[in-house]
Amino acid sequence: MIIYPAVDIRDGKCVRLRQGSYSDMTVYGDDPVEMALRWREAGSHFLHVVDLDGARGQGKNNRDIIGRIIEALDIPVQTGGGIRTMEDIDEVLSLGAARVILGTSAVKNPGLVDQAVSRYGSRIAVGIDAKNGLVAIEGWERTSPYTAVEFARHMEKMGVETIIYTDIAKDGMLTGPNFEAMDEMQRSVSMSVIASGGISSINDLVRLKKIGMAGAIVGKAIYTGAIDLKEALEKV
Amino acid sequence: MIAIVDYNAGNIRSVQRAFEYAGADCLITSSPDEILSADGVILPGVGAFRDCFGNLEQRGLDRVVCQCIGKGMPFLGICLGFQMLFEYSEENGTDGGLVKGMGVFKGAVRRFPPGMGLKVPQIGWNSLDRARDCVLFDGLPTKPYVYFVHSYYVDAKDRSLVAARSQYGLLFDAAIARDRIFAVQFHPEKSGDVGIMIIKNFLKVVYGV
Repeated sequence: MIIYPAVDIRDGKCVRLRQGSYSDMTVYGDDPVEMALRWREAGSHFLHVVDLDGARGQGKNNRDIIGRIIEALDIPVQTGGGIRTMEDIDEVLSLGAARVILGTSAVKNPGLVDQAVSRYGSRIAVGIDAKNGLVAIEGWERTSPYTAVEFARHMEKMGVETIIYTDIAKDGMLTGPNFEAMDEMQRSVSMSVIASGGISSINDLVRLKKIGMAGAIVGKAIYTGAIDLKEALEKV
Repeated sequence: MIAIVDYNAGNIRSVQRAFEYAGADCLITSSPDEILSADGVILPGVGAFRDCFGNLEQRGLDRVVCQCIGKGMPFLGICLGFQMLFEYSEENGTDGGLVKGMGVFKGAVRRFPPGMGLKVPQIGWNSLDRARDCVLFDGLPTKPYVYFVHSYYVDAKDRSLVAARSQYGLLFDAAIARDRIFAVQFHPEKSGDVGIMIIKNFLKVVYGV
């Protein structure tokens, strides 16, 4: 199982949100590039970068910073947040991202997923963020009528090979992931499922690995020190 | 000075960073003079074979690269910079035909076969099976993990070229070496410590230290 340290960027800074709420945000650093290098130094093999301004669709985005992170690191980077058009996908992949994550855009515009997958294959991932089992959109501030599993199956039919499954209720809470939901998703599809949200201990990571998750995203836990990333990478 | 061949083939700054980190002076350049007078030459490349080779050819840099290799200059091809050394790619262009490469070595670039349930492109860390001793892998574990992004793989005709293979549904050629000419399918610049070691080993070949 691949452990993805997360670097979320808002207004040029490295931040964490609680349950996806922009009003409940903690700033952990002024320089996301420096933070990314720190997680790389701990021994990571892959980094997960989210543009929270982009996700919220506020017009501006942090793409220049994401480009600098990709250039500065000698490990691959997957990134998402505010990817809405083929031009966005082209741009982010040409910055050198290994994989680009579609979120809201996949829910609203399945045609984009179709087009993106036929052009870029497994370099396209879909982020499925669930609130009470329903897919959330718009930086998690609204929900759609689909259940997460229904939506995942739909994505699978379109040829998507990787999903990132986040339980919003758990995210940023450090109370452990929603193992049942992760297990259900993992059993329901044959895509690679990356777990996200609530991971707060090395034991959580061990359990997710046992469930058979392809990867796990660690956010707040490595920022607060609840998880020592280096130790986690060695043990899991 | 190490010359990184610049032909509009995607973001090559991370290649430069990794070489600098490994202790090399690098120059990103499309000048034939600068490339031919460098101590070593890096040919990076990402994206589609046809576009990549088209860009190289358009700048006349395919001939420059062949000249470097002909002169026996230390050379490292990365990803498409590896694939383009071969005769042709099966990458389907608009006409569905074969796309020709530099043909420095005999062999083809083939697509991972559909119907094997493989995720294409292969994106991620995979281990190398060393086919023989190669200075590029000095000081590394027997099966080092490196990072790949590719939809096509090299099938070299001359098997004595092959320094390492890797398994992805099938065994494919992941690295070749002959004299001071090296080329790899994976991305040493994105392969963490292992990648930096491979770059350092290449620099040892260049500078003989």
